[in-house]
Amino acid sequence: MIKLSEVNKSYGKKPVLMDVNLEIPKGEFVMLRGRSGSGKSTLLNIIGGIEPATSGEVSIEGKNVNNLKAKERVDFYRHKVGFIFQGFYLQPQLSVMENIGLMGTFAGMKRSEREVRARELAKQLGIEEVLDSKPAEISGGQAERACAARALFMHPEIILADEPTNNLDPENAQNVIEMLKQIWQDTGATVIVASHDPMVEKYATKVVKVSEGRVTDEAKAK
Amino acid sequence: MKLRLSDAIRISWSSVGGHKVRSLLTIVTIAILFGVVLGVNFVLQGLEDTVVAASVVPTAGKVYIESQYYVTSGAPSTMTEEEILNPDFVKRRVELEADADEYGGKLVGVKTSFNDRPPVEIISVEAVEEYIELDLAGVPEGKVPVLVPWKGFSYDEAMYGMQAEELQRNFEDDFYVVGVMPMTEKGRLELGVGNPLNFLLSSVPSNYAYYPVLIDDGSGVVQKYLKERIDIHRQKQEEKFAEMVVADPEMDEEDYRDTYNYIMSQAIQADRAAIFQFDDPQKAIAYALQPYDYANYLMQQDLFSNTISVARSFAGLKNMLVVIEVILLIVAVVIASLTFGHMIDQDAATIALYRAMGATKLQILLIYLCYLVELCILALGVCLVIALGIAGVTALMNAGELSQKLQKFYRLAEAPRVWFVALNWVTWTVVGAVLVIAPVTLILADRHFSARNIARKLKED
Repeated sequence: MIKLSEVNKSYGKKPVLMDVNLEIPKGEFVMLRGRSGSGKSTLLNIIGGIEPATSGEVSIEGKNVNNLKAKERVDFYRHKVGFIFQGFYLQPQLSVMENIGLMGTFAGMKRSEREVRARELAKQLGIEEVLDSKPAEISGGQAERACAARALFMHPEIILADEPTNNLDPENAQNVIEMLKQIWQDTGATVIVASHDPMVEKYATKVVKVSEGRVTDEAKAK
Repeated sequence: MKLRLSDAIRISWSSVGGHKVRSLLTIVTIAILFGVVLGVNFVLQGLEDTVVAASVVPTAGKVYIESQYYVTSGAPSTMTEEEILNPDFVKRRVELEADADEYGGKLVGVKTSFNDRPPVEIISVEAVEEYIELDLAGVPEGKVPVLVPWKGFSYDEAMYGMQAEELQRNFEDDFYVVGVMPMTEKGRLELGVGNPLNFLLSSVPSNYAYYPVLIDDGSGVVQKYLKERIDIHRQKQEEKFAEMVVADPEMDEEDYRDTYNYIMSQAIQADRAAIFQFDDPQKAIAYALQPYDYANYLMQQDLFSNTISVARSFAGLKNMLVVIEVILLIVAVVIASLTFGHMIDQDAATIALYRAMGATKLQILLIYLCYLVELCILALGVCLVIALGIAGVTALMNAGELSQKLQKFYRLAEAPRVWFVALNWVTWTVVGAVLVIAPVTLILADRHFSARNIARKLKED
């Protein structure tokens, strides 16, 4: 269970999130829906512990994300959450294989072990043929899949995806959403997608509407 | 920290290629600053090695140093007549030998300096026979063999005219020339007017001699000559004292005795140094550059030539270079820190990504340390190219002229080889200084890695 209580976030004097209260049960496929600048990416980052909330509490399975000690935070990133960033953030100098295995690198996995896991994920997501390529040499859809593979590398319990269909043509966008659904079904992980793409809504089990920093609507999808 | 060093290096190395412009900027800045220092040092050390090598040619590659302890006042300790006439006597001989022995120095004789007009200097034959062809067999009986400062030395030149007048005898009455001393020429070792190398070369001192040196060949003739000189001086001092007594008939007994002792002590002022032979010029230089001890001052100087004087002059120049190096290091660290701080701000997204991928702060710091070390190593490479370029251009423009000047200055049969690249401790401090830039810069830029700063930068982007 992910629980946000009275969460506020501001940059300087500018409020971005106000009094956010939200509960996300384990195993849901959640869409954070909102326009650009509505605060959904910030909300996702706060859930993932990348940005601290100005006030309020974010807890995952009863543990306050803001109060994690350094070692707990590292464990949290390595085993609890996997990020799929907006704009991919694939390291341009590393190969796709090295990008996918980045978490394993920081966890001290041997190169051979990282490669086995990266190949396994690449096969699962259909990007096996681009493993030795550099990010600049692959398509947007392949890059998004590589990001997903990187997020899944350490078998996370929560997957956070920020605008995964941005910059993709409709066909690739559809493929990515289906890929996320497949991951969700295969792993049983909680998937939270921040997006303004109506296509995502069709797949979500829960939709949270974010508007002008407030979670104004919460509706069950099908 | 589980991150393997090889992985950290791979990730950081990809950053060097991925950020070509800012990497190049840092490399070029560091390389130019330190390349100039390294280049000047190459030239400086090359020049020193060249001059030192030329300076030992006249002494068959060996260095001869005269050493003696001075008392704290700096005045030479006085010797009695018996001590002067004993050719083996040297004050604190055991200490002197032990000290020189640490540097491979071997006692080969002594040098006696008898203060007179002209000064009388005597050296043991063992200190010169290895590198000067001496015609000792041809010395007429009763005459003292001498080395003269230059071929064709005129017996009546300089102060020897005075000797002829005062002692009522000519140079040739007492001495017989058996060879020429291996001294330098007069004046300075300099290239053409306005040549910047003159700044370095002008500190090379001349060891030109004006007076002959007596050779003690063990026959006792030198002691006999010295005894005569001492007796003449005693007699002259007695006459001087007698004049003073006549001038002051009121002098009491105590004053009379003190004045007499003082006047007579002036008759024989002499000191004696031990002469050490060093087969390795670098060890001789190390012996001569020992830390200065005011309370127990060991005075060393070249017997002939000017090897250790050259080393001392260049040591001063190298110390100056180190001061410049420290200033450049501070400038380089400031520039690198500013560039690096800016670079980390630009890399906020990457650092956030690393964090989100489970990297600890130490792992992130290690990656950036590797990145900085890689830049510094590349900068060292460019630095070396710049330094070799400076040395190469200097050699092209000056090698020929310098070789000729050295040949003339040291009176050599052949022009010596000249080089402008040599390593020394300054080289290693430059290498160390460039590598130190990496950790110092990282420490100074530490605040840029804070989660707050990264979050702020992400939001600004």
